[in-house]
Amino acid sequence: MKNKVINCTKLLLFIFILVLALFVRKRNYAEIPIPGQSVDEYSYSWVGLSLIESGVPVGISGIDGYKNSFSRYINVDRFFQTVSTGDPLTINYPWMDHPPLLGLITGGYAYLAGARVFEDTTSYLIRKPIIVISTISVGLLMVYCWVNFGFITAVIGGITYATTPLVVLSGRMIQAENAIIPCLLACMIFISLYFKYKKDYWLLLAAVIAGIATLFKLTGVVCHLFIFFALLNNYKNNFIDLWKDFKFFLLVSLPISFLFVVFGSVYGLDNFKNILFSNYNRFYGIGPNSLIELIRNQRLTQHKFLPEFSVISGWFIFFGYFFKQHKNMTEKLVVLSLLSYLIIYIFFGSQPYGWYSFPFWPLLIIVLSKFLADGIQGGSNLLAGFFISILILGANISRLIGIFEFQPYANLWRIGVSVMFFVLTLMSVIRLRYKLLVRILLLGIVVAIMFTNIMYLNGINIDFWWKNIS
Amino acid sequence: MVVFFGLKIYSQKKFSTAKLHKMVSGKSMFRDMTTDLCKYQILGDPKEIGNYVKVNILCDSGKKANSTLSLSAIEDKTVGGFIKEYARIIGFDEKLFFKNNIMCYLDGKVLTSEMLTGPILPKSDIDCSENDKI
Repeated sequence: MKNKVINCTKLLLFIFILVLALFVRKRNYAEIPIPGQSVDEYSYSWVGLSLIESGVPVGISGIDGYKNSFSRYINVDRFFQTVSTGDPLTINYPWMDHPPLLGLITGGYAYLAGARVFEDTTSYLIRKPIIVISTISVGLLMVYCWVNFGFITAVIGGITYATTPLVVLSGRMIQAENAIIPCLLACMIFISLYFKYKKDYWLLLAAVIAGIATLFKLTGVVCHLFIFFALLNNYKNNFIDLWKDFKFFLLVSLPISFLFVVFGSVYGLDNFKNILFSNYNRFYGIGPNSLIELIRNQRLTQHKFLPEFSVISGWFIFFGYFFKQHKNMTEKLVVLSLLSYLIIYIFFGSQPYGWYSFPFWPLLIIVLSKFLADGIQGGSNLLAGFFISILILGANISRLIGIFEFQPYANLWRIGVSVMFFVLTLMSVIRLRYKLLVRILLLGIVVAIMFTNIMYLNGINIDFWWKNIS
Repeated sequence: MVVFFGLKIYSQKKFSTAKLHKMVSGKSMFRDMTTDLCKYQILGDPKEIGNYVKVNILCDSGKKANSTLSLSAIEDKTVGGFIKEYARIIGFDEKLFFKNNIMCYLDGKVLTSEMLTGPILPKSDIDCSENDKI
């Protein structure tokens, strides 16, 4: 009976976090981020809409290799009035920059809602499916944490990923990375279940999802790379078993990925090849700046930044986990997934665009949540966990009321933090374990982080966007 | 094979340039039409040098709408075609341009209905005002 009540409470909390995630993503979703700041959002939807309507994908491309292209002013959401540079849009067909699955989802939804021309694909319409997808990501992140690290990690991870403003705002944008995130998280869940229960269907599911990920964008190949690293790590020197599993995985995932080649060949294999190879000439952000930028500045779009201390501290913890020898496979899986995407990120050389870094965030938040949960559960990193959580809260407060407005409360903050730090240090030194007290304190900080995140999100409107997010 | 032939047949059956044109240049059912010529404009200047037309409108309320359009994005390169496209992009009835109280000039000359079939030249200026305030 007691267990039933506990499980029901956990389930209710899980559902509450999902509803919260959906609610914060849905509020002002059609206005923020400002429609038109990334015309890719429209392009994806036009590709899907045109594919359904005319059988040929039509969209915007910035790369060479297209036979059919022309310029047009398509004033959807009247973005030529708000964020335009003055240049008309270059329309290309048949569009093959990326696989068409995301376009089919957003454009398909617009089609079902009655859209027939490109101007119909307003952000009010086309952002709805992506909000659902990014809410699913919150659920998958929680499931991964729950399965591998326990319920407290799932709650901390869920709350952080559901409400962190950078994640919420980026989760409203129609970018393929937002669809790759749930695929990668699902692969992480399935492979950890495969290692746990040794049932082939978990590997099969991972393979299907990995195949689907590449139909959103070629960077979806991160799922293949991650599964390879995970199997390699699991089987160590047993290459026969490694090859057996990876062969099975590829036999399922590659035919799904190959659908993009089939799609391309429908509109001319030469054309498809030209466009694919034109991708190799894209801007490449080589040099140390690309990695420093990634860690220090979190981008929403090419020119909009929204630094988040939870993401930055996630990087620090990741480096800690990376250099520490781990016996725990589940912790290794997160490190391997981050490493896999880092390789993809560097290979695709994606410095100037914000959305290429989106898939790092759920992984970094998992790492952060695990670290904080260890502290809450009486682990050795209690002080570090407290220090990081208080830094995140401090950064959130400074965003809300400004540094100068905060000064009347500075003494209160200093005294409060010092007292808590002193008490926790003392408890660590004399090995006192008031687990309940520590749990209440750290969970209180997590709730305060959630609250300040939501307050900040509530204050973001068009005016705030232009003035404060740069 | 099913995907390949299915998509091939579907695209051959459904695609036409008229349909493409309709999708790309069709008016939205979700967008409002305005009667205020100064309510909306096109921001910025096209990067392409020397191949643009400027539209400047001055309204009674004192509001102005200044737009610069690249000619490369205009299919029908006549004066009438340009005005029609401008009206489509902004979202108003092109006939508003020829209402009694609106006076327009093309490169300093009064815009007449005869001029509509003539070509629109790069770097042209179309200046309009309510009640001829220019």
